[in-house]
Amino acid sequence: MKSLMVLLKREWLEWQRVVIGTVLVITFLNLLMLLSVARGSSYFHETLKREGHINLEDIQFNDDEEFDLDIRMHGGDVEVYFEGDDSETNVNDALEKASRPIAFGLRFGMQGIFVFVLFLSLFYFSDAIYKERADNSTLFYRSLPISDHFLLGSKIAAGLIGVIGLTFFLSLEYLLFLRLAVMVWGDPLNTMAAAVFGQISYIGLMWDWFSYLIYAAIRMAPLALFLMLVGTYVKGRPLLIGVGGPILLSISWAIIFKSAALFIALGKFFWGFNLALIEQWGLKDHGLRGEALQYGNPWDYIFNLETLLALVVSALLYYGLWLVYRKNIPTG
Amino acid sequence: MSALIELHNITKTYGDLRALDNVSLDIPAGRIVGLVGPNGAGKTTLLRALTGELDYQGTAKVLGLEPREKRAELMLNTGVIHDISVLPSWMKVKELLAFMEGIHSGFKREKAESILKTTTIPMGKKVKTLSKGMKTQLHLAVTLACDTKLLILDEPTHGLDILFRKQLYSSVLEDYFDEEKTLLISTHQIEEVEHILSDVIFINKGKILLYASIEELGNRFSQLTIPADHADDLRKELKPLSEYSLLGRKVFLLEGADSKALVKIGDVQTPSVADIFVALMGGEA
Repeated sequence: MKSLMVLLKREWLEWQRVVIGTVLVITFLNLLMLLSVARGSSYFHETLKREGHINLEDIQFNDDEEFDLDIRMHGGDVEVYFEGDDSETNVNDALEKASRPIAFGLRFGMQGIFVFVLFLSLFYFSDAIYKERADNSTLFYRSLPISDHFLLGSKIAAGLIGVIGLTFFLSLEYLLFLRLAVMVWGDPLNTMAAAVFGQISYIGLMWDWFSYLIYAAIRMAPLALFLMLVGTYVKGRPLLIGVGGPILLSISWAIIFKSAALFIALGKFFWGFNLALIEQWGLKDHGLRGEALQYGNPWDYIFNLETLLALVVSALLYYGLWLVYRKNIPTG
Repeated sequence: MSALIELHNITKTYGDLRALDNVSLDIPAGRIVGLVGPNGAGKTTLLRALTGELDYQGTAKVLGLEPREKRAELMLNTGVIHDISVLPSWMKVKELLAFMEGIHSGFKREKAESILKTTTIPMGKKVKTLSKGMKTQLHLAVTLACDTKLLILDEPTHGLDILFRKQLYSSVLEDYFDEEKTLLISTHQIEEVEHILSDVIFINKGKILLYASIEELGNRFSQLTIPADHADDLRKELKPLSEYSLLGRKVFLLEGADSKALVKIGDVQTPSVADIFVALMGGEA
């Protein structure tokens, strides 16, 4: 176990600049978002003060019916009227409608971060062994009393920990900035959003997000191992070959067999991540109803045929990876 | 006492090429063995087979362990320095020491640091910024600090200047070698190491041509210097392995000749390992 920790630390030392750089970039983007919100808020409130009201017409989210919002100054307070009707019965509807962009922002932001980290992980997995081969350090590591499984396992584990840990940390940061953005905007968004945010169980959300990332890691494992495998034998450009290879194969398949089956399979593979989250957060059928997020049971999607298949394919790819790694094929 | 390295009929092929051809060896502990052969003779392949780096046919035991199956266990007591720089280029020197401390139970950081103090290697620099000589010194320092029973040096002075070469071998002898340890040095520059060797292995085209102690070589081979006009007669009689002219005289390298009888014919000397190597290669190298 001590050896594994040392090997994980080695991965951290090698890749820390990428991790820290990613955190800085996302933080910068969050700060930009906050700045934009502050400027937007200033413009919005100045207009409201000057005009006395702001009317937003034909607002629509997804395929829902269109609606209008009338935002008025009443005394020192800001009030929102839904479709011009000021009856209290529409408050809940207004909250429900307001919850849509919040839910969208929540999912879009968190999934955006996940996709960004996933993109970075492609570089990591394709370079994990290739870089060792390129500077001949595979010979050094293999001259030490560590088994090949520890060497490979530490790289896989570091990648998974990196993707899950980084996504998780950046998601938390994004949530914090989202709350700050709403606060900076002020009323009426703040009051409406507070009603929505107040009903979200954040511990539940984080646990669910964490479970989702575990699920995503299992689904992504074959791709990660495939890229590592490519990195053990190519002479150069492992990412280009690892990613370009399947795309070229799909194009060739489409031309020869006049079938887009491989493209569809690739598309389904990646879109599956999105669908899983939409279904898990109950966004597909009934949206976020201004109530707490309705999480599905994470075990349902962690333990199913898809993940089992991903694990079997991963095991086969790992075996191949181990066999080729032992050969230590030089890059030059 | 059983041999430290036992190889029986080791064969390694790459397509049609037999990089190792039925190699059998028994090397006991406490020896400094030179593995000598021309480029492409199979030296590195043999060393990589010994350290479990590649698959082979035949049976091998190093320190009582099968190298391919028990590589990690074997490396606890085996140090290797390659002919190329293999240290992770992105690591800083101090990070490398910390890494070795965590990964190798036999690693003594103080020893590595004391060896490094005799060099100009800065602790805070990355490996990739060091010169080739410094990289070799650094690798040697961390390897010697592991205090292994077997140390394998694969062309360790390749590309180094004369100062580094001298330093390297004296450092190995001073900081590492004792009678319980075994040193296996692969080289094609035999003159550089022949004064420190206790045994020598000649290899060419994947085959072992000779494995003998330096003492045995002295008993088995002799160098006879005779007047040039006697050469034709004596050549038929003595059948020298090789010959060359020197200052108007002929020099024969002979195997298995009686030194006492030779004294009557001309000047008899013990040939250098390099001369024997060249003679046995028969111009093939």
